[in-house]
Amino acid sequence: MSVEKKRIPIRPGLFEYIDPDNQYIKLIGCQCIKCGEKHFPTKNICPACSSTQLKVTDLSQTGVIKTYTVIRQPAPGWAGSVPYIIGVVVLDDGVEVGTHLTGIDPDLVRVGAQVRSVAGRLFEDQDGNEIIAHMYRIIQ
Amino acid sequence: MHQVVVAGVGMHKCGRYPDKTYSDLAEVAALNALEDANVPWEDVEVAYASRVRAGSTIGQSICRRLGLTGIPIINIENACASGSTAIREAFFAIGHGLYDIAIVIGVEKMDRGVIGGVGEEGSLDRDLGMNLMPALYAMKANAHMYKYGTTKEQLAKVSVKNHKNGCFNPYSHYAKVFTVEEVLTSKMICDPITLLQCCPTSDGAAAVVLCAENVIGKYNSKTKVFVAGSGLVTEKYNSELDITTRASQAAYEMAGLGPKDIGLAEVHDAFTIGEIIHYECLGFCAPGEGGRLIDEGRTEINGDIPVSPSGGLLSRGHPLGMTGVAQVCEVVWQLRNEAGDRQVRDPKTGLTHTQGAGGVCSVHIFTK
Repeated sequence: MSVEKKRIPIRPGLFEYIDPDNQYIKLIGCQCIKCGEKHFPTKNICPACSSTQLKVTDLSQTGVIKTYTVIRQPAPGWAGSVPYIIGVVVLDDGVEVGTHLTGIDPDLVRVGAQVRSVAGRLFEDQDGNEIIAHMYRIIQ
Repeated sequence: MHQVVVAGVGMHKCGRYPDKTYSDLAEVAALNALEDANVPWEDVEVAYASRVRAGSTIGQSICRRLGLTGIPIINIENACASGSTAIREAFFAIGHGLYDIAIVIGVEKMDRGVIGGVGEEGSLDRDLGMNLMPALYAMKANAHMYKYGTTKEQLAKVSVKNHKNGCFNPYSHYAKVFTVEEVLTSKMICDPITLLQCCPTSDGAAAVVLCAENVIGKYNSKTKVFVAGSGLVTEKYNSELDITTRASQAAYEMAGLGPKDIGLAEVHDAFTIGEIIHYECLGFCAPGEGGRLIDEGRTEINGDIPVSPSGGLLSRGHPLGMTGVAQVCEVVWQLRNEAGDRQVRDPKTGLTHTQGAGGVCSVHIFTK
Protein backbone atom coordinates (compact mmCIF):
# COMPACT_ATOMS: atom_id res chain seq x y z
CA MET A 1 0.00 0.00 0.00
CA SER A 2 1.53 3.26 -1.05
CA VAL A 3 1.08 6.29 1.11
CA GLU A 4 0.41 9.40 -0.90
CA LYS A 5 2.52 12.39 0.05
CA LYS A 6 0.50 15.31 1.27
CA ARG A 7 1.13 18.91 0.26
CA ILE A 8 0.80 20.94 3.44
CA PRO A 9 0.90 24.77 3.52
CA ILE A 10 3.48 26.02 6.04
CA ARG A 11 0.74 28.12 7.62
CA PRO A 12 -3.02 28.18 7.13
CA GLY A 13 -4.52 31.36 5.73
CA LEU A 14 -1.55 32.67 3.72
CA PHE A 15 -2.92 32.01 0.22
CA GLU A 16 -5.68 30.44 -1.89
CA TYR A 17 -5.35 28.47 -5.09
CA ILE A 18 -6.88 30.10 -8.15
CA ASP A 19 -5.49 27.68 -10.75
CA PRO A 20 -4.25 24.51 -9.02
CA ASP A 21 -3.06 22.95 -12.30
CA ASN A 22 -0.51 25.71 -12.67
CA GLN A 23 0.00 26.18 -8.91
CA TYR A 24 -1.25 29.76 -9.33
CA ILE A 25 -2.31 31.33 -6.03
CA LYS A 26 -3.37 34.65 -4.62
CA LEU A 27 -2.04 35.91 -1.31
CA ILE A 28 -4.50 36.71 1.46
CA GLY A 29 -3.62 40.04 3.03
CA CYS A 30 -5.45 42.67 4.97
CA GLN A 31 -6.24 46.34 4.52
CA CYS A 32 -6.55 48.93 7.25
CA ILE A 33 -9.98 50.54 7.18
CA LYS A 34 -8.58 53.68 8.82
CA CYS A 35 -5.42 54.43 6.81
CA GLY A 36 -5.86 52.21 3.77
CA GLU A 37 -2.46 50.45 4.04
CA LYS A 38 -2.35 46.84 2.87
CA HIS A 39 -0.28 44.20 4.66
CA PHE A 40 0.78 40.57 4.33
CA PRO A 41 0.13 38.31 6.11
CA THR A 42 -3.06 39.38 7.89
CA LYS A 43 -2.63 41.27 11.15
CA ASN A 44 -4.70 42.20 14.17
CA ILE A 45 -3.18 45.67 14.42
CA CYS A 46 -2.13 47.96 11.56
CA PRO A 47 1.66 48.51 11.75
CA ALA A 48 1.25 51.86 10.00
CA CYS A 49 -1.38 53.48 12.25
CA SER A 50 -2.08 50.95 15.05
CA SER A 51 -5.77 50.74 14.17
CA THR A 52 -7.47 47.45 15.01
CA GLN A 53 -9.98 47.85 12.20
CA LEU A 54 -8.64 45.73 9.36
CA LYS A 55 -10.41 43.73 6.67
CA VAL A 56 -9.19 40.69 4.80
CA THR A 57 -8.32 41.43 1.17
CA ASP A 58 -6.84 39.63 -1.84
CA LEU A 59 -3.47 40.94 -2.94
CA SER A 60 -2.20 41.41 -6.50
CA GLN A 61 -1.00 38.22 -8.13
CA THR A 62 1.83 39.96 -9.94
CA GLY A 63 4.68 42.26 -9.03
CA VAL A 64 8.38 42.96 -9.61
CA ILE A 65 11.55 41.76 -7.88
CA LYS A 66 12.94 44.61 -5.74
CA THR A 67 15.98 42.62 -4.65
CA TYR A 68 17.11 39.02 -4.20
CA THR A 69 19.94 36.74 -3.18
CA VAL A 70 20.91 33.13 -3.77
CA ILE A 71 21.44 31.39 -0.43
CA ARG A 72 24.26 28.88 -0.77
CA GLN A 73 24.91 28.21 2.93
CA PRO A 74 21.82 27.06 4.85
CA ALA A 75 20.42 28.83 7.91
CA PRO A 76 20.69 26.88 11.16
CA GLY A 77 17.76 24.49 11.27
CA TRP A 78 16.85 24.82 7.57
CA ALA A 79 15.28 21.53 6.46
CA GLY A 80 15.43 22.21 2.73
CA SER A 81 18.27 22.01 0.23
CA VAL A 82 20.62 24.73 -1.03
CA PRO A 83 20.97 26.76 -3.12
CA TYR A 84 17.64 28.55 -2.99
CA ILE A 85 16.66 32.03 -4.03
CA ILE A 86 14.88 34.52 -1.82
CA GLY A 87 13.91 38.09 -2.51
CA VAL A 88 11.62 40.99 -1.87
CA VAL A 89 8.74 41.33 -4.33
CA VAL A 90 6.76 44.56 -4.64
CA LEU A 91 3.23 43.60 -5.66
CA ASP A 92 1.27 45.76 -8.09
CA ASP A 93 -0.80 47.05 -5.16
CA GLY A 94 2.36 48.21 -3.35
CA VAL A 95 2.65 45.48 -0.72
CA GLU A 96 6.20 44.18 -0.19
CA VAL A 97 6.54 40.44 0.34
CA GLY A 98 9.68 38.65 1.54
CA THR A 99 9.54 35.42 -0.38
CA HIS A 100 11.20 32.50 -2.12
CA LEU A 101 11.68 32.80 -5.89
CA THR A 102 11.16 29.57 -7.80
CA GLY A 103 11.68 28.13 -11.26
CA ILE A 104 14.53 30.57 -11.93
CA ASP A 105 18.13 29.85 -12.87
CA PRO A 106 20.19 31.44 -10.06
CA ASP A 107 22.40 33.06 -12.68
CA LEU A 108 19.45 34.65 -14.50
CA VAL A 109 17.51 36.19 -11.61
CA ARG A 110 17.53 40.00 -11.78
CA VAL A 111 16.09 43.03 -10.05
CA GLY A 112 13.09 44.46 -11.89
CA ALA A 113 11.85 41.16 -13.34
CA GLN A 114 8.06 40.70 -13.40
CA VAL A 115 6.80 37.82 -11.29
CA ARG A 116 3.60 35.92 -10.47
CA SER A 117 2.58 34.21 -7.21
CA VAL A 118 2.67 30.42 -7.18
CA ALA A 119 2.63 27.67 -4.56
CA GLY A 120 6.03 25.99 -4.26
CA ARG A 121 7.76 23.27 -2.29
CA LEU A 122 9.93 24.44 0.62
CA PHE A 123 11.10 21.07 1.95
CA GLU A 124 9.83 17.67 3.03
CA ASP A 125 8.89 17.07 6.65
CA GLN A 126 9.87 13.96 8.66
CA ASP A 127 6.87 12.03 7.29
CA GLY A 128 7.76 12.80 3.70
CA ASN A 129 5.01 15.38 3.26
CA GLU A 130 5.78 18.36 1.07
CA ILE A 131 5.67 21.65 2.94
CA ILE A 132 4.33 24.36 0.63
CA ALA A 133 4.67 28.13 0.71
CA HIS A 134 3.82 31.11 -1.47
CA MET A 135 6.63 31.83 -3.93
CA TYR A 136 7.16 33.92 -7.05
CA ARG A 137 8.03 32.84 -10.56
CA ILE A 138 9.30 35.10 -13.36
CA ILE A 139 6.67 35.80 -16.02
CA GLN A 140 8.18 34.77 -19.35
CA MET B 1 22.76 66.77 31.82
CA HIS B 2 26.15 66.26 33.49
CA GLN B 3 29.13 65.76 31.21
CA VAL B 4 30.24 62.13 30.94
CA VAL B 5 33.77 60.99 30.08
CA VAL B 6 35.28 57.63 29.22
CA ALA B 7 37.65 56.99 32.12
CA GLY B 8 39.15 53.76 30.85
CA VAL B 9 38.85 51.02 28.24
CA GLY B 10 40.03 47.43 27.91
CA MET B 11 39.58 44.30 25.81
CA HIS B 12 40.19 40.59 25.61
CA LYS B 13 41.66 39.66 22.22
CA CYS B 14 39.06 38.27 19.81
CA GLY B 15 39.49 34.69 18.65
CA ARG B 16 38.15 31.21 19.30
CA TYR B 17 38.42 30.14 22.93
CA PRO B 18 36.55 26.84 23.36
CA ASP B 19 38.04 26.41 26.83
CA LYS B 20 37.07 29.85 28.15
CA THR B 21 33.70 30.93 29.54
CA TYR B 22 31.95 34.25 29.00
CA SER B 23 33.14 35.32 32.45
CA ASP B 24 36.74 34.31 31.68
CA LEU B 25 36.79 36.64 28.68
CA ALA B 26 34.85 39.45 30.36
CA GLU B 27 36.97 39.43 33.52
CA VAL B 28 40.11 40.19 31.49
CA ALA B 29 38.43 43.05 29.62
CA ALA B 30 36.94 44.51 32.81
CA LEU B 31 40.24 44.38 34.70
CA ASN B 32 42.01 46.04 31.76
CA ALA B 33 39.43 48.84 31.67
CA LEU B 34 39.55 49.39 35.45
CA GLU B 35 43.34 49.51 35.33
CA ASP B 36 43.30 51.91 32.37
CA ALA B 37 40.86 54.13 34.27
CA ASN B 38 42.74 53.74 37.55
CA VAL B 39 39.32 53.21 39.14
CA PRO B 40 39.13 50.60 41.94
CA TRP B 41 36.25 48.13 41.52
CA GLU B 42 34.80 49.22 44.87
CA ASP B 43 34.14 52.69 43.43
CA VAL B 44 32.02 51.38 40.52
CA GLU B 45 28.38 52.11 41.31
CA VAL B 46 26.57 50.27 38.53
CA ALA B 47 27.41 47.63 35.91
CA TYR B 48 25.86 46.99 32.50
CA ALA B 49 26.56 43.72 30.73
CA SER B 50 25.69 43.29 27.05
CA ARG B 51 25.42 39.92 25.37
CA VAL B 52 23.05 38.25 22.91
CA ARG B 53 23.47 34.50 23.24
CA ALA B 54 24.41 33.88 26.87
CA GLY B 55 21.68 32.89 29.28
CA SER B 56 20.35 35.01 32.09
CA THR B 57 22.38 37.23 34.49
CA ILE B 58 25.78 36.93 32.79
CA GLY B 59 26.57 40.37 34.27
CA GLN B 60 26.19 38.91 37.76
CA SER B 61 28.50 36.01 36.89
CA ILE B 62 31.15 38.43 35.63
CA CYS B 63 30.87 40.87 38.55
CA ARG B 64 31.03 38.00 41.04
CA ARG B 65 34.62 37.54 39.78
CA LEU B 66 35.41 41.18 40.49
CA GLY B 67 33.92 41.34 43.98
CA LEU B 68 30.42 41.18 45.44
CA THR B 69 29.94 44.86 46.14
CA GLY B 70 26.15 44.69 45.90
CA ILE B 71 25.74 47.25 43.10
CA PRO B 72 22.90 47.15 40.57
CA ILE B 73 23.81 44.99 37.57
CA ILE B 74 21.77 45.27 34.39
CA ASN B 75 21.92 42.74 31.54
CA ILE B 76 21.20 44.14 28.09
CA GLU B 77 20.34 42.40 24.82
CA ASN B 78 19.65 44.41 21.65
CA ALA B 79 21.10 42.22 18.87
CA CYS B 80 24.28 43.60 17.27
CA ALA B 81 23.60 46.95 18.95
CA SER B 82 23.61 45.41 22.46
CA GLY B 83 26.96 46.93 23.43
CA SER B 84 26.01 50.35 22.08
CA THR B 85 22.70 50.21 23.89
CA ALA B 86 24.51 49.41 27.14
CA ILE B 87 26.88 52.36 26.59
CA ARG B 88 23.87 54.62 26.03
CA GLU B 89 22.10 53.44 29.18
CA ALA B 90 25.24 54.00 31.29
CA PHE B 91 25.78 57.41 29.65
CA PHE B 92 22.26 58.59 30.49
CA ALA B 93 22.37 57.15 34.00
CA ILE B 94 25.51 59.15 34.81
CA GLY B 95 24.39 62.15 32.76
CA HIS B 96 21.18 62.37 34.76
CA GLY B 97 23.05 62.13 38.04
CA LEU B 98 22.05 58.64 39.17
CA TYR B 99 25.68 57.53 39.48
CA ASP B 100 29.20 58.89 39.10
CA ILE B 101 30.92 55.75 37.84
CA ALA B 102 29.63 52.89 35.67
CA ILE B 103 31.24 49.94 33.94
CA VAL B 104 29.93 48.55 30.66
CA ILE B 105 31.06 45.03 29.75
CA GLY B 106 30.29 43.50 26.35
CA VAL B 107 31.02 39.82 25.76
CA GLU B 108 30.08 37.00 23.41
CA LYS B 109 31.03 33.50 22.35
CA MET B 110 29.91 32.59 18.83
CA ASP B 111 29.12 29.29 17.12
CA ARG B 112 30.75 28.65 13.77
CA GLY B 113 28.68 28.99 10.60
CA VAL B 114 26.36 31.63 9.18
CA ILE B 115 24.61 33.95 11.60
CA GLY B 116 20.92 33.12 11.53
CA GLY B 117 18.47 33.75 14.27
CA VAL B 118 16.81 36.84 12.88
CA GLY B 119 13.25 37.06 14.08
CA GLU B 120 11.39 35.22 16.74
CA GLU B 121 11.39 31.43 16.97
CA GLY B 122 8.27 30.22 15.17
CA SER B 123 8.02 33.36 13.03
CA LEU B 124 7.06 32.95 9.38
CA ASP B 125 10.32 34.42 8.02
CA ARG B 126 12.32 32.00 10.12
CA ASP B 127 10.28 28.99 9.01
CA LEU B 128 10.72 30.10 5.39
CA GLY B 129 14.52 30.02 5.80
CA MET B 130 14.79 33.73 5.05
CA ASN B 131 16.44 34.95 8.21
CA LEU B 132 20.17 34.73 7.60
CA MET B 133 22.11 37.90 8.27
CA PRO B 134 24.33 37.46 5.17
CA ALA B 135 21.20 37.03 3.02
CA LEU B 136 19.65 40.25 4.31
CA TYR B 137 22.84 42.17 3.52
CA ALA B 138 23.21 40.40 0.17
CA MET B 139 19.75 41.66 -0.76
CA LYS B 140 20.82 45.19 0.23
CA ALA B 141 23.88 44.73 -1.98
CA ASN B 142 21.92 43.66 -5.04
CA ALA B 143 19.48 46.55 -4.58
CA HIS B 144 22.37 49.04 -4.20
CA MET B 145 24.21 47.64 -7.22
CA TYR B 146 21.04 47.85 -9.32
CA LYS B 147 20.18 51.38 -8.21
CA TYR B 148 23.64 52.99 -8.17
CA GLY B 149 25.93 50.74 -10.18
CA THR B 150 28.01 49.80 -7.14
CA THR B 151 30.43 47.03 -8.12
CA LYS B 152 31.58 43.76 -6.56
CA GLU B 153 35.11 45.14 -6.58
CA GLN B 154 34.01 48.09 -4.46
CA LEU B 155 32.42 45.72 -1.95
CA ALA B 156 35.63 43.65 -1.86
CA LYS B 157 37.73 46.76 -1.20
CA VAL B 158 35.95 47.21 2.15
CA SER B 159 37.17 43.76 3.20
CA VAL B 160 40.68 44.45 1.89
CA LYS B 161 40.88 47.77 3.81
CA ASN B 162 39.55 46.43 7.10
CA HIS B 163 41.66 43.27 7.04
CA LYS B 164 44.72 45.45 6.41
CA ASN B 165 43.79 47.70 9.36
CA GLY B 166 43.21 44.69 11.58
CA CYS B 167 46.83 43.60 11.12
CA PHE B 168 47.82 46.55 13.31
CA ASN B 169 45.30 45.82 16.08
CA PRO B 170 46.59 43.44 18.78
CA TYR B 171 42.96 42.56 19.69
CA SER B 172 42.00 41.42 16.16
CA HIS B 173 40.85 37.87 15.52
CA TYR B 174 42.49 37.96 12.08
CA ALA B 175 45.74 39.67 11.16
CA LYS B 176 45.99 38.76 7.50
CA VAL B 177 45.90 40.84 4.32
CA PHE B 178 43.84 39.79 1.30
CA THR B 179 43.64 41.02 -2.29
CA VAL B 180 40.42 42.05 -4.04
CA GLU B 181 40.68 38.89 -6.13
CA GLU B 182 41.08 36.68 -3.06
CA VAL B 183 38.00 38.28 -1.50
CA LEU B 184 35.90 37.83 -4.64
CA THR B 185 36.96 34.23 -5.27
CA SER B 186 36.43 33.06 -1.68
CA LYS B 187 33.41 30.79 -1.12
CA MET B 188 30.07 32.31 -2.14
CA ILE B 189 27.75 32.56 0.88
CA CYS B 190 24.79 34.58 -0.43
CA ASP B 191 25.27 36.21 -3.85
CA PRO B 192 27.14 38.58 -4.12
CA ILE B 193 28.52 38.22 -0.57
CA THR B 194 31.53 35.88 -0.38
CA LEU B 195 33.07 34.38 2.76
CA LEU B 196 35.75 37.09 3.10
CA GLN B 197 33.02 39.73 2.98
CA CYS B 198 31.43 38.29 6.15
CA CYS B 199 32.63 38.99 9.67
CA PRO B 200 34.16 35.92 11.31
CA THR B 201 32.45 34.18 14.21
CA SER B 202 34.64 35.19 17.14
CA ASP B 203 34.71 35.10 20.92
CA GLY B 204 35.77 38.26 22.71
CA ALA B 205 35.09 40.89 25.35
CA ALA B 206 35.46 44.62 25.82
CA ALA B 207 34.83 46.94 28.76
CA VAL B 208 34.49 50.68 29.25
CA VAL B 209 34.46 52.67 32.49
CA LEU B 210 32.27 55.77 32.20
CA CYS B 211 32.56 58.54 34.74
CA ALA B 212 31.00 61.91 35.61
CA GLU B 213 33.40 64.59 34.37
CA ASN B 214 33.60 66.23 37.78
CA VAL B 215 35.06 63.15 39.50
CA ILE B 216 37.50 61.89 36.84
CA GLY B 217 40.29 64.06 38.27
CA LYS B 218 40.39 61.79 41.34
CA TYR B 219 41.42 58.84 39.18
CA ASN B 220 43.51 59.81 36.17
CA SER B 221 44.75 62.70 34.08
CA LYS B 222 44.55 61.05 30.67
CA THR B 223 43.07 62.90 27.69
CA LYS B 224 39.40 63.40 28.55
CA VAL B 225 37.16 61.71 26.00
CA PHE B 226 33.59 63.02 26.30
CA VAL B 227 30.43 61.20 25.27
CA ALA B 228 28.99 64.01 23.17
CA GLY B 229 26.01 62.45 21.44
CA SER B 230 23.90 59.30 21.45
CA GLY B 231 21.23 58.01 19.11
CA LEU B 232 19.21 54.79 19.32
CA VAL B 233 16.38 54.04 16.91
CA THR B 234 14.35 51.15 15.62
CA GLU B 235 12.82 50.64 12.19
CA LYS B 236 9.87 52.90 11.45
CA TYR B 237 6.96 51.94 9.20
CA ASN B 238 7.48 53.21 5.64
CA SER B 239 10.12 55.72 6.75
CA GLU B 240 11.98 57.38 3.89
CA LEU B 241 15.05 57.44 6.12
CA ASP B 242 17.34 54.52 6.88
CA ILE B 243 17.76 53.60 10.56
CA THR B 244 21.44 54.66 10.38
CA THR B 245 20.41 58.07 9.04
CA ARG B 246 17.91 58.51 11.85
CA ALA B 247 20.27 57.32 14.61
CA SER B 248 23.14 59.48 13.35
CA GLN B 249 20.94 62.55 13.00
CA ALA B 250 19.95 62.18 16.66
CA ALA B 251 23.58 61.78 17.73
CA TYR B 252 24.83 64.65 15.55
CA GLU B 253 22.12 66.94 16.90
CA MET B 254 22.91 66.10 20.52
CA ALA B 255 26.64 66.63 19.92
CA GLY B 256 26.11 69.81 17.93
CA LEU B 257 28.31 68.32 15.21
CA GLY B 258 27.92 67.11 11.63
CA PRO B 259 29.48 64.44 9.41
CA LYS B 260 32.28 66.79 8.30
CA ASP B 261 33.43 67.15 11.93
CA ILE B 262 34.09 63.42 12.41
CA GLY B 263 37.77 62.47 12.69
CA LEU B 264 37.26 58.70 12.51
CA ALA B 265 34.37 56.27 12.59
CA GLU B 266 33.94 52.68 13.73
CA VAL B 267 31.16 51.40 11.50
CA HIS B 268 29.08 48.22 11.47
CA ASP B 269 30.81 46.29 8.67
CA ALA B 270 29.47 42.82 9.51
CA PHE B 271 29.12 42.42 5.73
CA THR B 272 30.97 44.62 3.21
CA ILE B 273 27.91 46.23 1.65
CA GLY B 274 26.93 47.50 5.11
CA GLU B 275 29.95 49.78 5.30
CA ILE B 276 29.26 51.22 1.81
CA ILE B 277 25.64 52.01 2.69
CA HIS B 278 26.57 53.36 6.13
CA TYR B 279 29.03 55.85 4.57
CA GLU B 280 26.02 57.34 2.85
CA CYS B 281 23.59 57.17 5.78
CA LEU B 282 26.14 58.63 8.22
CA GLY B 283 26.54 61.58 5.82
CA PHE B 284 30.16 60.90 4.80
CA CYS B 285 29.04 61.04 1.16
CA ALA B 286 25.85 61.47 -0.89
CA PRO B 287 23.46 58.54 -1.49
CA GLY B 288 24.93 56.23 -4.12
CA GLU B 289 28.48 57.56 -3.66
CA GLY B 290 29.62 54.94 -1.12
CA GLY B 291 31.41 52.86 -3.73
CA ARG B 292 33.32 55.90 -4.93
CA LEU B 293 34.36 56.77 -1.35
CA ILE B 294 36.13 53.41 -0.96
CA ASP B 295 37.59 53.64 -4.51
CA GLU B 296 39.15 57.02 -3.70
CA GLY B 297 40.75 55.67 -0.52
CA ARG B 298 39.13 58.34 1.61
CA THR B 299 38.15 55.85 4.35
CA GLU B 300 41.66 54.45 4.74
CA ILE B 301 43.56 55.24 7.96
CA ASN B 302 45.34 58.08 6.13
CA GLY B 303 42.20 59.26 4.30
CA ASP B 304 40.07 62.28 5.21
CA ILE B 305 37.37 60.15 6.91
CA PRO B 306 39.04 56.98 8.25
CA VAL B 307 36.52 54.18 8.84
CA SER B 308 37.15 51.21 11.14
CA PRO B 309 40.89 51.65 11.72
CA SER B 310 40.48 48.84 14.29
CA GLY B 311 39.86 46.39 11.46
CA GLY B 312 36.14 46.55 12.08
CA LEU B 313 33.88 43.58 12.53
CA LEU B 314 35.43 41.98 9.43
CA SER B 315 38.91 41.63 10.92
CA ARG B 316 38.75 42.32 14.65
CA GLY B 317 35.70 40.08 14.84
CA HIS B 318 32.06 40.43 15.82
CA PRO B 319 31.28 38.77 19.14
CA LEU B 320 27.78 40.27 19.07
CA GLY B 321 27.49 41.70 22.58
CA MET B 322 31.10 42.92 22.53
CA THR B 323 31.11 44.96 19.35
CA GLY B 324 29.52 48.24 20.43
CA VAL B 325 31.79 48.38 23.49
CA ALA B 326 34.94 47.47 21.52
CA GLN B 327 34.18 50.31 19.09
CA VAL B 328 34.34 52.75 22.02
CA CYS B 329 37.69 51.26 23.06
CA GLU B 330 39.08 51.96 19.58
CA VAL B 331 37.73 55.53 19.47
CA VAL B 332 39.25 56.27 22.88
CA TRP B 333 42.64 54.83 21.89
CA GLN B 334 42.51 56.91 18.70
CA LEU B 335 41.50 60.14 20.46
CA ARG B 336 44.28 59.62 23.01
CA ASN B 337 46.76 58.94 20.17
CA GLU B 338 47.45 55.49 21.66
CA ALA B 339 46.56 53.43 18.57
CA GLY B 340 50.11 52.61 17.49
CA ASP B 341 50.61 51.66 13.85
CA ARG B 342 46.92 52.16 13.04
CA GLN B 343 46.80 55.67 14.53
CA VAL B 344 44.67 58.18 12.64
CA ARG B 345 46.36 61.59 12.38
CA ASP B 346 45.33 63.53 15.50
CA PRO B 347 41.55 63.03 15.46
CA LYS B 348 39.41 65.37 17.59
CA THR B 349 36.15 63.40 17.33
CA GLY B 350 35.13 59.78 16.81
CA LEU B 351 31.85 58.09 15.90
CA THR B 352 30.64 54.56 16.62
CA HIS B 353 27.81 52.81 14.78
CA THR B 354 26.14 49.42 15.21
CA GLN B 355 22.94 48.00 13.83
CA GLY B 356 21.29 44.64 13.86
CA ALA B 357 18.39 42.27 13.81
CA GLY B 358 15.03 43.70 14.69
CA GLY B 359 15.86 46.91 12.81
CA VAL B 360 17.84 48.44 15.68
CA CYS B 361 20.60 51.02 15.19
CA SER B 362 22.77 53.07 17.53
CA VAL B 363 25.28 55.86 16.91
CA HIS B 364 27.53 57.59 19.45
CA ILE B 365 29.85 60.55 19.06
CA PHE B 366 32.91 61.18 21.22
CA THR B 367 35.03 64.34 21.47
CA LYS B 368 38.16 65.43 23.30
